[in-house]
Order: sequence, then C-alpha cells, then structure tokens
Amino acid sequence: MNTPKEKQFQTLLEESKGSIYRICKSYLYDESQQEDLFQEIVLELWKSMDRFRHEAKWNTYIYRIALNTAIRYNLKHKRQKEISPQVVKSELYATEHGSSQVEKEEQLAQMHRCIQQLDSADRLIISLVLEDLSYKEIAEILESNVNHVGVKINRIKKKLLKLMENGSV
Amino acid sequence: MDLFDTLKNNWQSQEAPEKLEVHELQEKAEQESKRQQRKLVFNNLWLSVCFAGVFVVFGWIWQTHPGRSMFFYGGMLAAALLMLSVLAIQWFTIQYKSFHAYKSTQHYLKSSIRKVKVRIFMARYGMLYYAVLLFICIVFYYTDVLQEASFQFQFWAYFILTAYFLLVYFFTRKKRKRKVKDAEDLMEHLKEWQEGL
Repeated sequence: MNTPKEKQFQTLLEESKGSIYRICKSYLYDESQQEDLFQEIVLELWKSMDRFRHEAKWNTYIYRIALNTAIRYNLKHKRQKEISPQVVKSELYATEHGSSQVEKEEQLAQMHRCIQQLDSADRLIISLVLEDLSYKEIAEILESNVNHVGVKINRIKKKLLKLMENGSV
Repeated sequence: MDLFDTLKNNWQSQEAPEKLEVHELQEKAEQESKRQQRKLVFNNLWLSVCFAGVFVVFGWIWQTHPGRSMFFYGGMLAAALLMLSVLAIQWFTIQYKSFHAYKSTQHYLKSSIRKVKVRIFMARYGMLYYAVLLFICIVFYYTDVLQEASFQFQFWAYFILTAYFLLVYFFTRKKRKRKVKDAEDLMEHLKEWQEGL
C-alpha cells in the first residue's frame, strides 16, 4: 500500500522522468554514467520532497534538483568521458545522407555529440532551453538575472548551431 | 520553423527508456535514503562513543589522583577541552556534508565553495594546530607526573613524545598535501561553474 508521499512522488516522476532523462543525456555522453546520474537525481528528488514549498512550481523545483545533482556528479566523477571534436566532425560527414526517419535519428545523435562539445555549464543551460523552459524559469533555477541568462542562451544556441553545421565552432 | 525549433522538437521526442519503472525507482530511492540516514546516525554515534570512552578515562585519572599540581589538572582539562572541540567540529562536519539539492544553483555553488575553503584550511593548518595544542597539554601533564623522576628518565620521556609528534607530522605530510591539492582542484571546478552559469 503506497503512502500519499509515495503516490505523489510516483506521479511527479512519471511526469518528469523524460525531462530528467534528457538532462542526463545532454550532460553525459557515456550511457552507464547517464543511468547513474538519473538514479542520483531520483534519490535527491525523494529526499527533497518534504522541503518543497508551494511558492515555487514543481517543474522549477525538479530542474533545480536535477541541475545541482548533475554539478555534484561532475565534481565527484571529474574524469567523465569526453568526446573529441574529431569524432563529431568525422561522424558529421558520415551522416549527411539518409532517409527521413534515419535522418531524424542521426540528427539527434549528432546533436548529442555536438552538445558534448559545449562546456559543462553550457550543456546544462541548453538542456533547459531544449526542454522549452522560459528565460525567466531558467533564471529562477539558476538564481540569475533574466537578461544575463538571455545573452548566455543566445551565445550557446549560436555555438550549438555552428557545431551542427560544421562540426567545430 | 527554424533549425533550432526542429532540433528542439526532435530533442523532446526522446522518451525515457521503458526499464525506468516509476514504482521501482521510488522504492530504490526510499531504500537508499534510509541507508544514508542510518549511516549518518551510526557515524555520529560511533564518534560519540569513542570520545565518551576517552572522557571516562580522563575522569577516572582525575578522581584517583587527588592533590596533584595545577599542571596535572590544567593539562588534563586542556586536553579534554581540545577533544571536545574536535568532537564538536566532527559533529558539525557530519551535518555540514548534507547536500541541499533543492536550493538554487548559485546558492549550492556558493555553499560548496565555502565548504571547500574550510576543508583547505583544515588540511593546511587544522592538524598542525591540533598537534601543537595536544603536545602542550601532554607537556603540562608530564611536568607534574615526572617531577620526581630522574633527569635521564625525563629526558627520554620528552624525547620520545617530541619524536612521536614530529614523526606523525612528517609521515602525514604527503597525505595533507594531496588533500589540499584535491580541495584546490575542486575549488577551481566550482569557480568555473560559477562563472559558467
């Protein structure tokens, strides 16, 4: 029999597990590390459930926990597997031709590889943008200024698009 | 629709794998959280029991040696106070280690930087201060206990005590250096994050 806390947690997790999973994917290239990070985020969410104050949105609260846990994960596992720019470039040329579904999947894979070329902080910020969070929400998560966040996001977007086109910045 | 919007749509079409079953994840998180809490309580208790043992011995020596000089009581009292401070710091550190993931990212980074600064200070000077103060306490104690001993006996007692402290300090030097280096690396990473966000 589930307690109300357990039920609430399961509902929230069901709604947000896709987003958490994508944040892990954007942040880490190695699949086993992505799973580790996912588990850690879920654990921190569970531990922080009782601390939630309703003046913030659940959504923001969950992303904040995910981000902080990802940063801590990075500090604990400093030697996370990085992908080299050469890999991105060679794979970019290898995936230029193909059918639409394959193309979509290849574009996604390419996008992951390009995101891995960004700095750690930029990877986390772009993952929030890709989740369709507004600048205001992102600024709230980071406790930063909306304008400052906006400038930063534009710079990261440009960098990512350039990487997608050329394989290098 | 521009290229970035297309990328965003593709990105959001990625679903979490089926194997990530919510009920299982919740149970796993609950168990892990309980395990961590048990570990924290056990660490606190273990530390307190160890120190309690030392204090009982101090109390017993104090009781069974009435009418000694102020060096005897002063040395023991100072050692007890020093150990109490270490105990308080240890308790504080255990609580300090807790990770508040729900706070804002900037807040998390600032508090992590503060913690690392304390860690660097402790690794650089903490052990040195502790060793010097403990040495003084024991010298006080020796002054009383050895007052009737021969000069040769006193010489060897102080020599062994000093040599012991110097050797411990010398052999832990590498470990301390490594700790400082690790903490400084961590600090650099945290600052990079702070600048990056």
